Amino acid sequence: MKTVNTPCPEECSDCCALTYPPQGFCRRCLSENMTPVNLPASGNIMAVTQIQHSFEDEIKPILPLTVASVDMGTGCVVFTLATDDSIQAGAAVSVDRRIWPFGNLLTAVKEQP
Amino acid sequence: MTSSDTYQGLAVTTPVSLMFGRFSDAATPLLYARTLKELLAQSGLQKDDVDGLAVSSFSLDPDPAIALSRSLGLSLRWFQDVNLGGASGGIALNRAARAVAAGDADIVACIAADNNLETGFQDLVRDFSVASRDGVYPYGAGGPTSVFALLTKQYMQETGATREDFAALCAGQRENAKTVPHAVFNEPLSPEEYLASRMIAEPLCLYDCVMPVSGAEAFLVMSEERAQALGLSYARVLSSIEAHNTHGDEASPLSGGWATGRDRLFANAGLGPDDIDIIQTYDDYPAVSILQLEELGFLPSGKGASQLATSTHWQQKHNTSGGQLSCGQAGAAGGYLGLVEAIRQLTGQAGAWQRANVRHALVSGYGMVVYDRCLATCATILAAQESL
Repeated sequence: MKTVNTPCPEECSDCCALTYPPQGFCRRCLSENMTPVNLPASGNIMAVTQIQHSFEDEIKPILPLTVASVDMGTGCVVFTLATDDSIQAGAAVSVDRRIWPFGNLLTAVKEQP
Repeated sequence: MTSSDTYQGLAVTTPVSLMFGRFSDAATPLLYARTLKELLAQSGLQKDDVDGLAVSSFSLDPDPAIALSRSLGLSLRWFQDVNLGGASGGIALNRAARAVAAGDADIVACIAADNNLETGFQDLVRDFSVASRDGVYPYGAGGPTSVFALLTKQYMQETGATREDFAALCAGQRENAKTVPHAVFNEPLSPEEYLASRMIAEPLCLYDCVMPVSGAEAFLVMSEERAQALGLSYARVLSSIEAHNTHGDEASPLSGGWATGRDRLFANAGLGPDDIDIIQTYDDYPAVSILQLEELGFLPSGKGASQLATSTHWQQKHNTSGGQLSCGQAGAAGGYLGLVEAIRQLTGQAGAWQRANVRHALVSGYGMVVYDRCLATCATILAAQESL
């Protein structure tokens, strides 16, 4: 598996909609005036799974991996890894990029109350 | 003209299921050739009688689908590449039926076939779409099971559904498959075995996950008059819907889109859910089947899992060949399997697993998980020939 670097979402300069993964145009208004932006600072966990089977040999030694879907609240749902396997649906999380053995990937970290 | 008018006088016939094993290095066009040969043998048609072709495959690369017309030696008036995964069957039928009704073709062969090389599924999911490659696959490389694990978990959180409910569904479908010759798995599966099996992506265990196989499913679409002249048993199309990216702006992936077309589907058929004798849902994972049954009005929203789990009545009428969880996933992610089984049941050709008095069948499909959900949804109601 080649190392991956998660792309930034794009914000539409015309209607402000966020598109992720980026595609060079806005899926709401079809504008091509798109700007790479950082993800919103926080989101909410929709669901969490523990991946126990991977198609990639490089990943198998570090299984299980905790993966979450996160609603970033702006029409943008992202998949993330999580370092804390106690993370649960509904939790507020911050999402940033962290280095994993196979890439620089979105990672959800539980926000402190 | 209503949808039901559109389908007047149209027959869907000659259900074919061919299994080539879990893995096969036979080229996909060869699987098409064998399947077409079987359609012709069972129908008594000659190859030159076929003037329409609908195909569904994930393993034709680098060939474009139309290359099959050349390799099969078919001169066609109508062709469709319906590459919509689990929604391919219903949508291929819908378009083929409309083509025959419009006079664009007389005999349409609808075929879904795929080989499955040892690394075939891995290669497919690694590069299935740009969004999936960039935004899903790097997160554990679990393929579609990762996405459906999250969807299933969300369904469980919102409804209280349990793994025991899914165990009952999987065990029930396996029971349905016990006399089905093209089933890959037809030995009994107990709920206890299910619950003790290894996790793939929690909460999905080994028995929740459909197994890709090499194989094909196929049927023919023609006029009733032609089917009668050929002496073929056939089913009639009453109504069909499709929807794509219906709730694309909603964060939750739990609404597939069947509910938006449900009233039209039943109204055009002149039927309601209680009139349906058998239902074939797309079952790559158990929760996906339950979502279809709920949205189509067969089970109450949010309570489908527990009701399905406790009902032998539902086991009898739902996924009567054991579904993909027993038969494996062949041909555009198994998108034709439920439809072919419905034709078989409606025409009395199901052999030892034939249900009694099948007059109406509903088949639903769900396909193409390019990011966090499937984008293509369909449902079709068919009637037995004698139910006029």
